[in-house]
Amino acid sequence: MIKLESVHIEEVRGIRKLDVEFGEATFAVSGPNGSGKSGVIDAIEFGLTGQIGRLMGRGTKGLTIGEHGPHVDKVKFPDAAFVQLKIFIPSLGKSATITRNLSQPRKPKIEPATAEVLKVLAEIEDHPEITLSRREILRFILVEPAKRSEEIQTILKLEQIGQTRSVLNTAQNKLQAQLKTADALVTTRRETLLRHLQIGALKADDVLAAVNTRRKTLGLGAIAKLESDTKLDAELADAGKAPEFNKQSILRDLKAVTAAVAGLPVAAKASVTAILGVIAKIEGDPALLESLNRRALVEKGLDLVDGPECPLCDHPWADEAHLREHLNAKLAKSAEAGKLQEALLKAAGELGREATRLNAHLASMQKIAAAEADQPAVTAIDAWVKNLEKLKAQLGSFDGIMGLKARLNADWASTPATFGKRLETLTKAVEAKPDQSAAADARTFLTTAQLRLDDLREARRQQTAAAAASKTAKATYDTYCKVMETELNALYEDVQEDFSTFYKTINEGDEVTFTAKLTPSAGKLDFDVNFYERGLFPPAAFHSEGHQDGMGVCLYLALMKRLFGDQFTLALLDDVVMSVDTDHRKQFCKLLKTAFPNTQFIITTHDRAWAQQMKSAGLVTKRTSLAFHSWSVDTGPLVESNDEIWDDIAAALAKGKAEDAAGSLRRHLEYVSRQLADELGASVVFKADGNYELGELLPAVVGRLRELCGKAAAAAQSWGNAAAQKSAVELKDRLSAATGVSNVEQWAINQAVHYNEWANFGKKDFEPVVAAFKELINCFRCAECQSWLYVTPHGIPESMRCTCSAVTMNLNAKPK
Amino acid sequence: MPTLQQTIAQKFLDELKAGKVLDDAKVEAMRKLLQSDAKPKADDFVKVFTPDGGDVA
Repeated sequence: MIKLESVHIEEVRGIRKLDVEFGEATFAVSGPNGSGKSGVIDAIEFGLTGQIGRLMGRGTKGLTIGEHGPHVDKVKFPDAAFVQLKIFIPSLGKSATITRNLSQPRKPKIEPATAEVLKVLAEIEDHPEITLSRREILRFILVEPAKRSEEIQTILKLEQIGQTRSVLNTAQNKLQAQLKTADALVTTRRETLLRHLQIGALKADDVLAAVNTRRKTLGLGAIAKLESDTKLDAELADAGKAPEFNKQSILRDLKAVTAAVAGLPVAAKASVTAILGVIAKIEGDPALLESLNRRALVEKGLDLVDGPECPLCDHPWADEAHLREHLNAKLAKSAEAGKLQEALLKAAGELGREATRLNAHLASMQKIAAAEADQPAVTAIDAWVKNLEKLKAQLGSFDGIMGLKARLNADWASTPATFGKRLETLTKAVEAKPDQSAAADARTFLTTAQLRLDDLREARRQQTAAAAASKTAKATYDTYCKVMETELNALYEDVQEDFSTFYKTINEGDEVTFTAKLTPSAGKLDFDVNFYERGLFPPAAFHSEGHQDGMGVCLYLALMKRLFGDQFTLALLDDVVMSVDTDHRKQFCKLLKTAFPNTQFIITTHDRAWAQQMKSAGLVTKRTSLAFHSWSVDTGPLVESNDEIWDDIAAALAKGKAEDAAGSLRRHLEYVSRQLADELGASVVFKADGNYELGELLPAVVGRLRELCGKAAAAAQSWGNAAAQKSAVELKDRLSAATGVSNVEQWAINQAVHYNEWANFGKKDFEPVVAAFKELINCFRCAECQSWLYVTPHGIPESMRCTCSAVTMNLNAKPK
Repeated sequence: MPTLQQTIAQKFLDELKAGKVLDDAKVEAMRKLLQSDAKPKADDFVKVFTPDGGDVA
């Protein structure tokens, strides 16, 4: 997608001000812990995406870009904190500049802001996975299989895929619940019609037989066929009007109510028992209750999320995706509680449907009571219906259900004590009415039958629509799952092959027959690797931590290759091979160079040896590497090869901070001495830990240059080259003078001038020391190009020179 | 370069169309929901799945 040309960072994370020229090449940033290396990665990531991964995700509760993105001294002045990135876009052959301020992370200034440039940058924002840190790669190596696919999806920021599936599943469940309700309504209305018609099953012949008998009584023609629009009361003068009282039908309705109420203790017994069982389990385990309570809150919160602010406490997150990730992680932790909750809600749903059936009976009884002007019965039924509706509402939530324990133990329906009496009274009142004439009975029978048939037809229409919607929802959900799994499985297959190849490259000669297997199944992702042909095992079973680190990076690189192909042009690797040993790191350099020749890697490491190894392997050069030697809250990272070190030292002395100035001078001299010892081939007593002190390095380096100058002078003299001889002697004299002033050769014998005492010097005493060492170090540079002098070839030097060849001293005397 | 999410979403919509799970208008409605900046809610999908009119004899 893009490559980095340069970055300018001000007041971001631990960095005060820093410019880095990447030159579109792989670049290494090294330095000890806390020197600011990751700050460079944070700044680049922020510049490109407006996010800082280290401040988001798991374990970062309470951290925000707004409060913790700017340097600690600029938190109240976020406008001062910004990153300016210059990038190159290979597909467009153009450069662009992004300036992004911590106070407005979502509003970068882009130049040029053309549509094509904006499109590329929008793609980058969609791919924050270009940044990889060690804590992230470990997540998908050392995690249990059930979590691995989630971890890989998390690291690749694929949570939206899971979210979409989850929302489709919720929609499917809602429509399924609606279908069950529609089914129940059809059942209730069918029963009501059958009861009225006094037939056992809704067969067309039986319906017509019952209807036509009454039609004949009224002298109406028989209905020959029952069709979808047949009117049972056709040609009746009262057709379409509200039906009059039909005594027999009403008595049957009241009988049905009596049977329903009598059957309440048995109805829904299984559901009630199931609910009470879960409640008992929860009450017996307080941790489970807490988990469920949190779950209910988190689920509600997820429903309400509509932006980066927490819907409960308004706490701002970097973006909505990270807030959702956080909430989903909480839900995942309470899986057992989730299963219980599911069982609870299922049983509650069944009990709710029983309440709906009971209410349907009560509704018909209420109409009868109203027709009989039995107001107390109407009021009593109304109260009971409302009570049952309240029960249904409570059954819809976890908290509601938990509050129903007492009711469920006593009488879930809460049948009013006087209900039986009222029902009996109403029944007797209807029975006492005079029997209707055959004609009146027939008329009211037909109008009531038509009304109930209309109700049933409407219920069936709703049921058909609900069934269609539910079927569509399921088919859509299944399609999404199928596509998602197909894509992810293809991803895993491709990845597994590349992963094995990359890992074998890093472990060349060590694990030549290495293979790996990524096996997705039922939401899990098993990851097994071959251990010396003894079989496939999880990575942590037998492989060392170093090997696992290597696996992590290889898996990441394989995923990136699969996802981006030849557009994988940039990756930020933040100290990702900490536990990998020297040999394997060399191979890692080879992997990056050979398998990803067109990818620019920005690599940080705390290991100086590996930083050097990257140069030796040709992965980076001196120009494309940066070394920090320390960090302070006032200065930010201090760069080892920074020539402004002399200005920094002067500034520290001007502020009266001689100790800081002494520390900076010492560190700079240690850095320079190491460089020069390598460049000139100085002899230093070997130390296995590689921790050479200034006193071990600089005198050796000074001695070496003196020796080389002597050799060059002797060689020039043997060749009769007076000018070359003069140059060599002049350099030697200059070195001697500078050495004398600096007292560097007195360190071993004169404690007072030893560099350990510098921190005790005052400003006036230390300034001459600084000047002396500045002059001493300049003896090792070319006055023209400022590069360090070096010998070549390194093993048996034949000359000493500089980069521009202004200094070229032959070391080989004329053969005699 | 599309993200994996975008790739999956497009293939999903293509499958819905090819399998006639949804008609063209509803596939378009799904596409708008999936591409919207606002995250789709379950009720948004319920509206898409519910038949128009809903009246079947």
